Parts: sequence; structure tokens; C-alpha cells
Amino acid sequence: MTDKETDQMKVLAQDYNSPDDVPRETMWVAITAERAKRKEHSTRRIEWKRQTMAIAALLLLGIAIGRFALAGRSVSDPGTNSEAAFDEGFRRGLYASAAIDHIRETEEFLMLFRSDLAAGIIPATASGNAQDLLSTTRLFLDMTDLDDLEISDLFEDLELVLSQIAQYSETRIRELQYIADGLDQTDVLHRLRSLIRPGEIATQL
Amino acid sequence: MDESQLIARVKTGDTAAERELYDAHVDRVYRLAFRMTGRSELAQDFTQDTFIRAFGRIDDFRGNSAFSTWLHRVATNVILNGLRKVRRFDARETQLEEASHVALPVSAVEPDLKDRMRQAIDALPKMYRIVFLMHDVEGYKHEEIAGALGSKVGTTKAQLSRARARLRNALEAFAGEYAS
Repeated sequence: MTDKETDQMKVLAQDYNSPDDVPRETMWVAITAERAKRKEHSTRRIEWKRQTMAIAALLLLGIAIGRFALAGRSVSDPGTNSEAAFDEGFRRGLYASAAIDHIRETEEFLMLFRSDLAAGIIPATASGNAQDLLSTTRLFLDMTDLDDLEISDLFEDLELVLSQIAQYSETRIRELQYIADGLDQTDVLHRLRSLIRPGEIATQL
Repeated sequence: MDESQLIARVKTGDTAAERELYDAHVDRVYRLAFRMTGRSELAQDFTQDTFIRAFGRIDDFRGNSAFSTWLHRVATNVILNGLRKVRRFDARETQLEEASHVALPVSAVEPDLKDRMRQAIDALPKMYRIVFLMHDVEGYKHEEIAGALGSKVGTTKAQLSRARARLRNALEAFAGEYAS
């Protein structure tokens, strides 16, 4: 191709999707509004996480105290059955509430992480966030009343995926593909979503 | 104030510095987004998303490359991924429209050279198109394009050469007008 042909082509191409005036102010307003919204959401998430951790810690403490108290009682103690049933119901309610929050937060994190992975940009905060979620996941795994196999399998898979993300560093960028494969193979996002569906979680937790 | 000082201020959360950095780069990002999409609302969305991501991840920018290169890497990712989603949506819309309308005959009027050029650019593979538009239309250097697309200068040069060859072939029907 001659230089003349190339120049003619460049001139012709100038009309292709020729940009209009740049709407600087409109876009700036939209950018600041969206960032403010995300910041507020992020603050609420931190508060939410703190509350979830507090509930989970309380539950663990409650379970430990309950076991300690029950160890000293006779099985046939007549006053114990209704009290134990009430405690059990209360404890399971608290547990379900904390688990729902954790599952919802983890699903949101993994969904964003997946889309960032596809875009090839991994935020520096991903590792730290995954570490926080991993700690809570392990807390749930440590609770011995995870008698639902589906839920406990899910928490085990979550532990694996989150620990991969928590250990990710820029120097091991090739591991991103393994993380993506792990997300696909364990199908955790789909399984988390199916648990968040209204009505389903209450029956499973 | 040099750009590295400006970026340092942005990292501390200085909104005036953010605005300054935005003003310095927004035109190029918007123009590229518009060239790639041809739609004002999409160009705005992609430009906004680029700056939201860039400001949100400014701590990831360590100054190993020019800020413009880093920002354009974010921008090209946003644009190419965004276009993929839009195409999927548009394809579904088109299918729905085709199902409910009788196909219109192709215009009897031959497209003029500019229309032919537009169709030819539209028909380029995505990577050829973005390289062609960045280099031949918006005046980016190969080093900038390679940095933005995360490829090598040799690759973008080859892509540009192939894009031009395809466009030339597509314009051959207008050889007389084109060569004159």
C-alpha cells in the first residue's frame, strides 16, 4: 500500500464514529455520584461484616456454655427438655441469620471478583477481602451443627476458593487461571445464589 | 505540578486532584470510546466506568508506565468487555425484530465511499479495529497502543498492517474514486 493510499484511508476514516462534544460535566457528576454510592455501600458492608462476626462469636460462645452446662445434667431432668428446645430454636435462628449474611456477602464478592478476572484487572484489596471472608467461613465450618451436607460441602469449597484468592499476589499472576478454574469447577457462585433464593435458605439452615 | 505529584494527591483522596487528572485525560478516553461504539450514551458509560475503576484502583498504579498508558489499559478493557455485552444484547434484540418483521430489501442505492469505509471498519475484527482507530484515526503511537492493549509493539504493527490491507480490499470496488 502506498503512502498516498494510506493517507487517503486515514482521511476517509476520520468520519467513522466522529465524536461529538465531550460531556465533561455530565460524566463528572455521574462519576462522583457513583463513587459516593459505592463508598457508602462499602461502609455498610464493613459494619455488616463486623456484626456478622460478632453474632458468630456469640454463637460459638453460646454453644460452648450450653455444652458445659448440659454435661453436668441428667438426661432425664424434666425441666431441661423445653428449655433445651427453646435454646436450640433460638440458636439455630441466630446461626441462620449470620450464615445468610455471610453467604450473601461472599456471593457478592465472588461475583465482582469473577467480573474483574474477566476484565483482567484484579483490585489490590481482593486478597484482604478474601482473607476476611475466609476467617468467617472457617468459623462456620468449625461449628459442629453443620449437619446439612450440602451446606458444609459448600463452605468447604468456599474455603478452598477464598484461600486461593487470599494467597494471590501480583508475583503469582498465573494463578489467576487456577482460581478461575476453581470457581468454575466448584460451581460455588451458582450454589451460593441458589441458597440466597427466598424461602430456600430457611429450610436448609 | 507534574503528573506524579497529582497522582500522589489523588492517592490521598484529594478530590480537586481527581478532577484535575480527569480533565487532563477524559477527552482522549471519551473519543476512543465514541470511535469504538458510535453511540454517545455508551461512550459516556464506558468513560465513566473507566474513571470510576481507575480512581478506585489508583493505589495499584505504581508509576512503572505512564499514567496515560495505565488509564488506557483500563479504558480498553472496559470498552472491549462492554462492547461484548452490548453485542450480545443487540443480537438478541435483532433476533426479536427479525422474528416480527418482514426483511426489508437492501437499498438499491449503492453506498458512497464513506459508507463503504464505515462498513469496512465495522467488519474488521475487534482488535484490528481498535488498533486502526487508535493509530490511524486518533493518532496514538504504537508504544501507547501496545501498552493499552497489553501486547507488543510488533503485534500492534502487524495488526495495523492487516487492518489496512482488509480496508483496501473492501474499498477496491471504488478503486477509481478511491485512487483519484
